[in-house]
Amino acid sequence: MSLDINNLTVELCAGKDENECINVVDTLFLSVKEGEVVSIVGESGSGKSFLGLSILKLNPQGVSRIVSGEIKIKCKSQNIEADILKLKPDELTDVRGKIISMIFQDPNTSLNPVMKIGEQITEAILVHKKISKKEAKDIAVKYLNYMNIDGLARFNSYPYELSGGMRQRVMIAMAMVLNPCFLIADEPTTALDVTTSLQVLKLIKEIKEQSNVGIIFITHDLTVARSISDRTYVFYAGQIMESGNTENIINNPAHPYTVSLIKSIPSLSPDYVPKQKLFNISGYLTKDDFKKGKCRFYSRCFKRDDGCLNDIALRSFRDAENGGKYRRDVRCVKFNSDAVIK
Amino acid sequence: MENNVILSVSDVSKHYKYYKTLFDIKKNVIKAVDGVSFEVYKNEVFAVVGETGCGKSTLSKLILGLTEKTSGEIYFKGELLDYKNKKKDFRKKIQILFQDPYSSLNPKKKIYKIISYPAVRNGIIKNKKKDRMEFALEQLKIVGLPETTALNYPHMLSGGQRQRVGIARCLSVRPELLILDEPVSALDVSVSAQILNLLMDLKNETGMSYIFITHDLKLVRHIADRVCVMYGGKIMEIAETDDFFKNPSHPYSRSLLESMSFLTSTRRNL
Ligand SMILES: Nc1ncnc2c1ncn2[C@@H]1O[C@H](COP(=O)(O)OP(=O)(O)OP(=O)(O)O)[C@@H](O)[C@H]1O
Ligand SMILES: Nc1ncnc2c1ncn2[C@@H]1O[C@H](COP(=O)(O)OP(=O)(O)O)[C@@H](O)[C@H]1O
Ligand code: SF4
Ligand SMILES: [Mg+2]
Ligand SMILES: [Mg+2]
Repeated sequence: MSLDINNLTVELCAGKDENECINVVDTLFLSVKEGEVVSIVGESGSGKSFLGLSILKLNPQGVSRIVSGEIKIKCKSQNIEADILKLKPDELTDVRGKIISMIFQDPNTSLNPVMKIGEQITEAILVHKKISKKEAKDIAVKYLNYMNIDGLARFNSYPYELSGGMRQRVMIAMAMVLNPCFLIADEPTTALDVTTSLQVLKLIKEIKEQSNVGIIFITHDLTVARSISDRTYVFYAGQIMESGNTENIINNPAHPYTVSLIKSIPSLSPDYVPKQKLFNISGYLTKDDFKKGKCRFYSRCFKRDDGCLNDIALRSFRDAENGGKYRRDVRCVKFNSDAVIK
Repeated sequence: MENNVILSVSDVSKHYKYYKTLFDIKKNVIKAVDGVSFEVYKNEVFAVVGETGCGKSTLSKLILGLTEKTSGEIYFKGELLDYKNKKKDFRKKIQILFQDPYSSLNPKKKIYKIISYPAVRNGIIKNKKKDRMEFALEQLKIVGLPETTALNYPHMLSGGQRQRVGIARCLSVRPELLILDEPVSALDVSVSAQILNLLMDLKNETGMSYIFITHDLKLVRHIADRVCVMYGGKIMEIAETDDFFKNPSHPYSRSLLESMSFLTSTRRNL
C-alpha cells in the first residue's frame, strides 16, 4: 500500500493580473506508506491546502490547473492501483472517500448543520457501499463509538449540539467509516484548544496504530507535527524546502527556513531560554515569493546572497543519525551535508 | 508589596442566567467566573491559563467593565474600579488586545483613524486630520510599521501587521494594564515571534503590566512571571512561572502540563 506523488506542479492564475500565474505547488515529490504518518508543515498561504485538495483533484476549478506530475496509489484492500490524475470522473468519485478520505480544519463547513450526525455518516456509507440502511446504521454507530462518542445516544444529535472537539471527531468517524487506505487531514486541530486538540491527536494516532491507514497530516505547527508524524515535509511557498525523519529534522535542521521556524517557537529549540528574544524571521510570505528565478525563501533568509538568485533544486542527503538510515532532502544552495548533518 | 499592586480582584463572580430551551420554566445558571481573587503587580506578566470555556474571557470582560459583576470587588491601584467615576479615567488605564486581528479592526476605516480614535475620544489629541495623522505615525513607529500603513485599510494588511495596529491602538492612551486575550494564537509562528518580542520590549520600556490570557503553555513559560490556572470558573492555582513548571501543586495543573510535555518532548509519549 502506498501513495507516491511525483513531480506534481499545480498552477494558480488569480489575483489582479489574470495572466500572471504562479506554481502554487511546484515540482513536489511526496510519499506515504502503509501505517505511516507524514506531516506537511508550513505557514499560512504557503499552499498546504492547495496541495491537499490537488491530491484528490479537488483544487479550485477555473483558477487553478494541475500542470504535470503523477499521483500513484496502491491500495490492496480495495484492490486498486492507479494514477489519480489519469482516472475517469466516476473512478475518481470512488477514490474520494473510499480510498482516500479527507478531513478539514473547520468541521462546521463540512458537516451538514440540519442533518443528524448519525444520518450523515450512514449516508456517506450508502453512497459507496451496497448494503442495507440498517447495516449502514450499525457501522455508523460502531465508528462513533471508536471515536469516543456514544454512537447510540448521539446518533440523532445535530452538529450544533456538539462541542468543537466532538464535531471534529464526527468528521474523523465519517472519514474512516469506509476503511480508506489514506487519510488527508488538513489542520484538524487548529481550531481547537489544547486539551481538545490533544484528544483528536491521540485519536489519529490510535487510528494509525490500529488500521494501517497512511496519513498525510497538514499543520502549521511543528510541535504538533513532532508529536504525531514519522516523517515531515517542511513546505514554503509551494515547495518542499526540507524533508526527512521528523525527530532528526527538529534536532538538526538543515534548511535556513526550518532553522528559523524552530528558533521562533518558544521552547522547541534545545538552547531555548525563557524570556529571551525569540528569533525573528523578517517579513512575511507573499505571492511574490512564489515567482520563478530565485530561491522562494530568498526575501526572508538570513543566509541569502547572489548565489540564491536561481531556481533551487531539491538535493538528497543521508542523516548521520540512526546509522544513515534516513534520507534528508534539502532545497538550499548553501547547504552541504557536512555542515549540519553530523 | 502593597503599593506594588496594580490590580486587585477580590472574590469576583459572574453568573449567567439563561433558558436552555424554549420550554424551560426556570433559568439555568452558568458560573462563568466563580469567587475569583488575585493580584497583579506592576510591570509583571500575569498569565491566565485554562481550557476553552473556563471563564478567561469573562474575567477580562469583568475587569474592563464590559459586563456586570454578580458579586465581588475589583481595585485598581488601591481604588475601587468604577468606570462610572469619570474623574479617575480607568477606561484609559486598562486596555485590551483581542485574539483575532481580522475582526477587531473596523474594515471601513483607514489605519490612522483606527489608531488615533481612542486618543481623540479621551481628549489626548484634537479631532483634526493633521493631529490624528501625526499621532498615528508616532504610534506606528513604536510598533514597527512603515508610515505608509497609515493610509491603508485593514484588509490590505497581513495578520501580523493587523495585530501590530491593534497594539498601537491599545498603547495610544498610555495604559498601565494591558489585557492580552490570546494575542498570537491566530498568527503563524514566525509572525507570533515578532509580536511576542514587541510585547516584551514595550513592557520593559513603559513599565506596563500584562494579563496574558492563553491556552498555550509554551507562551506562558516564555513570557509570564506568574501563572494563574482556571478551571470551571474557579482558580485552581497561582504560582511563580518557574515553580509552576517545575512543581505544579494542583492535579489539574499537572494534567495541563502533561498535555504540554506531549507537545514539546519526544513524540513517543503520546
Ligand atoms: N453572554 C453569555 N451568556 C451565557 N453564557 C455565557 C456568556 N458568555 C460566556 N458564557 C459562558 O461562560 C463560560 C466561560 O466563557 P468564557 O468566554 O469566559 O471562556 P474562555 O475561558 O474565554 O474560553 P476560550 O478559551 O474558548 O476563549 C462558558 O461556559 C460560556 O459558555
Ligand atoms: N480559490 C482560490 N482562488 C485564488 N487563490 C487562492 C484560492 N485559494 C487559495 N488561494 C491562494 O493560494 C495560496 C495558497 O493557499 P492555501 O493552499 O490555502 O494555503 P495554506 O493552506 O498553506 O494556508 C494563497 O496565496 C491563497 O491566497
Ligand atoms: S538558497 Fe539561499 S536564500 Fe534560499 S534558503 Fe538557501 S541560503 Fe537562503
Ligand atoms: Mg489551509
Ligand atoms: Mg476566550
